Amino acid sequence: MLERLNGPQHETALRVFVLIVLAHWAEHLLQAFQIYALGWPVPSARGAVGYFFPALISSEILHYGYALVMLVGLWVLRPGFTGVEDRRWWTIALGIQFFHHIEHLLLQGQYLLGQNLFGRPVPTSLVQFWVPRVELHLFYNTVVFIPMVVAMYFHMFPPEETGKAPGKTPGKATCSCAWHRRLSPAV
Amino acid sequence: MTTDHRGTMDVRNLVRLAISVFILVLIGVAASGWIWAGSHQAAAQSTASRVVLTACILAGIVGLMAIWRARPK
Repeated sequence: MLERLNGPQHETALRVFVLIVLAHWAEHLLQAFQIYALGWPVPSARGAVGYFFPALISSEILHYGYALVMLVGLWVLRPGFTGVEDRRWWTIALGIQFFHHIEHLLLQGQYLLGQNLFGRPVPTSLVQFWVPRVELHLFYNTVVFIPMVVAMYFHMFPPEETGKAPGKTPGKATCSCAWHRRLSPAV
Repeated sequence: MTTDHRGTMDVRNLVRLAISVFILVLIGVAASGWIWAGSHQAAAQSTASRVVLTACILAGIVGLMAIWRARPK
């Protein structure tokens, strides 16, 4: 399964992954638009899904589910990034998402236990003690997304000086995601 | 320059243009939040928000530089 996901199915898997990431971004960008442009109060600005299904947002399950899908996706699809540059950027995204996921795990735990950290009125993550939630999660999503998309770009168009990630056999990129592979005969 | 190579360059530029537009949207949202925070949040919260939103903008710039400075194989 893992071999297929990082071999012949890597391109399809990445496409599905990107669709999930973009759908999640659509929600966050809509929420930002509701607050910054429309002037909605922060508790009422829940994006589109939260507008119709507010319980999904307040239960933290949607947030945690997405954080988990992201973490698993970044981990599972990492072996397919066999170049130096694409592997490096993907690993940065994975590292940041790991911490982001811990933050959401804390929020989910507080909701499930019915006990918030330090008696706060709402579930609160660690960095949220200093940074308001909307801006904090815009930050987390941005700093995970940027290295992720740069990794995908380098995976599709390997840079000139690229080598092979440690432990990988040197040679031409074999993943069907690499654009030049579609133009040349199979090796 | 071969037709294949020209085609690759076109697709490559199209892909990084699409990525760039999305990153610019993210930078725009972060900048809007930066302005909004100054007038809608308490001083300490506003400062904290502006720190992370500035980091978003910087991350966006780093991403743009990474994809536009790289030379293809």
